[in-house]
Amino acid sequence: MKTRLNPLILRYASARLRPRPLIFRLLATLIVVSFAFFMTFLLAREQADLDTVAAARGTLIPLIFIQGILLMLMGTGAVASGITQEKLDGVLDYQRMTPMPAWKKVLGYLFGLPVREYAMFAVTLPFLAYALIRGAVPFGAWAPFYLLFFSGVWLYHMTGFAAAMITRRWRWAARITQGMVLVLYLFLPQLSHLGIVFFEYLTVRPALAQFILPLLRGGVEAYPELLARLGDRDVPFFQWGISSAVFALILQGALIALFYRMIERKWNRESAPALGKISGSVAFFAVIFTALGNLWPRVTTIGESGPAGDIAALVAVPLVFGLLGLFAGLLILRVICPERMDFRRGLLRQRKFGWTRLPWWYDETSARACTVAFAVVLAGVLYFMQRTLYGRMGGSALDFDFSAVPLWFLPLVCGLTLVYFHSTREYLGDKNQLLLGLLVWIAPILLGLVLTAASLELRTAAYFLFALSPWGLTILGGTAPLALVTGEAAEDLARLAQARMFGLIAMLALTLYFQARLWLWQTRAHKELSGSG
Amino acid sequence: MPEYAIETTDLRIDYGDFTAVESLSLRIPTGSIYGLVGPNGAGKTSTIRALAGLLDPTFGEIRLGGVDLREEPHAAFRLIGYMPDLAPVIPDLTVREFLFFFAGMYALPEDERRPRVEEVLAHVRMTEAADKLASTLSRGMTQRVVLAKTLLHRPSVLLLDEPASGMDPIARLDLRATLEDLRKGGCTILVSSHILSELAEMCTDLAVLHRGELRMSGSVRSILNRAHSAERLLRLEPLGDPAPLAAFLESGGHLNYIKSGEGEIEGTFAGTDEALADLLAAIVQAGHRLRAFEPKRSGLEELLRELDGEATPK
Repeated sequence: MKTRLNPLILRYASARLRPRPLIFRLLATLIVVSFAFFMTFLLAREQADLDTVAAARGTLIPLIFIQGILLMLMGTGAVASGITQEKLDGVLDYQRMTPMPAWKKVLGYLFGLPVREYAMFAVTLPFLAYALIRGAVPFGAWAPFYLLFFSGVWLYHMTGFAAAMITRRWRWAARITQGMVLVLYLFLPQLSHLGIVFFEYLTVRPALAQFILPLLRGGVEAYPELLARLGDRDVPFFQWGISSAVFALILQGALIALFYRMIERKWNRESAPALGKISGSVAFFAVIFTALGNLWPRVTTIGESGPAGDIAALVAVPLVFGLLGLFAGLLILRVICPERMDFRRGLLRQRKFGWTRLPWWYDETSARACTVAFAVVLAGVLYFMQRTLYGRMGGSALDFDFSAVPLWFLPLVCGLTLVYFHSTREYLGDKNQLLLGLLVWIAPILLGLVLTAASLELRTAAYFLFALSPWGLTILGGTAPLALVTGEAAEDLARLAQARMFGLIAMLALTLYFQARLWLWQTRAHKELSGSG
Repeated sequence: MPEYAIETTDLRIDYGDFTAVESLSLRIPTGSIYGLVGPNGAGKTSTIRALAGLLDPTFGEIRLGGVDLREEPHAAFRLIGYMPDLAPVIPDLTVREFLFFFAGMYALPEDERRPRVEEVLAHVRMTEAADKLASTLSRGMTQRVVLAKTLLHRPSVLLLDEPASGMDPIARLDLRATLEDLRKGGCTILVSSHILSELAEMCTDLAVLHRGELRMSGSVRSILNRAHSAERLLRLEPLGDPAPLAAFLESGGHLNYIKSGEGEIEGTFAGTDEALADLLAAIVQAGHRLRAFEPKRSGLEELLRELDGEATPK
């Protein structure tokens, strides 16, 4: 038989669709799906006395849930563990050497590795067809829903793929990505309360709320408020409202493109970092832009939501933005900062070609320029956001001295944290920096909490310990206005201010120290390698 | 094909502070079987992986069949077949499925795939095991299957890293015959091993790598001559008292180190095979009668010791 199917899909179809194990899995799926379907349908039809249309529509939720488990959880795990296993076996090296273009290989793996899960998904389709036909679900509802459903599936599969190409332990790759799916569905939606809604659009929940829930008995109102709200509004983005389906597609598409870029880099050169300086910078600025766009409506409506809402926005909006920007910046810097050996390789190449310096976008070049750009943009946007927030507080019922809040503090801490991280990453290298991260970034916060638990008398020491950690210092800086309005004693406020300054000076000193050491090492390496040539 | 099928210029490969390959410039003539020999850690695998495009060199140029590997990797990939040391297979596919899969990955025309798969299966004598799951194969059979995969797309440059490891003697003979067939068909083969004698039997040219550097290269004959010109142990058994022969050898400066024992003499000799034959003639002409004249064959270790400037073990 002649076929033009992607050989990778054929290869996995041969291996993963062998009759005996497949029949067992299909049977298991059939039992679970038919149980869920008939239970829901018959309960609605016979016990709740609903008509056939409503009863058939009611089966959509359990069906979608099972389909989600099959493709989003199991399929993602299959992609992540399958790729890592091939990498460990050395089989991936064979594929690297075949002349097939990278995009075809990605498509082959994307649809080949979870082929068994797709087969199990197919078992649910007759039930789904019945629900859609007998439930008279309009095309305009189920088609966009399933478009977003599959967009989400492919996003998670790409995440698994990228994670597997980067991590060395296959168990980790599968667990990390499956964990990520759970975090997306269970934890990150809570950030919507704080105005960061874009994580929601990495899930299928908004599409469910927009297209499926209104068809069910009781409509969206019958479901939790957060979920219901997702369905009836556009996504706030600066002064515009973007259709949630379009926003979700754009966001998921952008992430799929980012993961594709990571995979492509790893295909071409296994030792390459997952992101280059340019793609890393684009990703960082995109996160900043999207977060700012999402939060901006909260900034412009401050002073309209009453004292409690105003103070919440005043504290939460800059703090959430700062933490998110920091998290994205640190994650990307961790990828794009070269290890010492890579830096030396760059110097050797520079010497070989007689260049005066390597271009800034080379993987081997220090990420100092990117770090400075990230820090300036994050700090600048944060400062601008705070100024706008505080500038609009004139109409607020809040009564406290805004001038007592140093607007420069939080932006400075966030910017400096990025520079601090960069210097330790490039100077100490991966493992030593992780140790430093544990001792200086996390341990002081935990110790501070223990001290506070032991005795409130020790809270001054706890403040200072908190301030030692960049995370702690960011939180102390971001919550400064909260301390003003909660009526803290003047003495406590003074101690908090001292702790913040202590933390800032300590971080500045450490940053200068590590940057100086890094610069000295880089200069020495430069001389050493120039001399040896 | 150009004059040189494989060319590297100033190739350097670093792993952190460790330099695995330094300034390696190779020119491998088209249609040759070129042996890359060296002890473990010499940089053979790193070189072959870099030639296969699987390892990014620190710098240096690689041209395969005249194609720059860095500039046109996909064009180069079409030319090369690579077989790693301890070559893996896909365990959950049968041998035939494995080969069909790679026939597809190399985009062989669809009507050619089946006959080509059967042809390479026959070539490596695996037709009977074609429907076995790859996970059930022995080490030697696995090597043969991977060799078949490597040959599928008719590469003009073959990169074989320790291909004979795990093969039984018959399979080794088959491998040697296969490589010779391929060479006659115009294929250029780069094959690595740490066993000099193994390569000497199948290669037309050799390069000796040691500690990441190319220590010598040339025809097999010239390398073996060089190897044999290194100091080697010589054992002689004269008829009767060994003392006169020992005195003759000592006074003539024929051997560097002489030890007389129970009816035999051992010493170290430095020189080519011709010089060794001359020594035997001189001993006979001097009237000494020998029961045994036994030069120990020197190998890679002696050669490398010599290259390192170390003394030959006594």
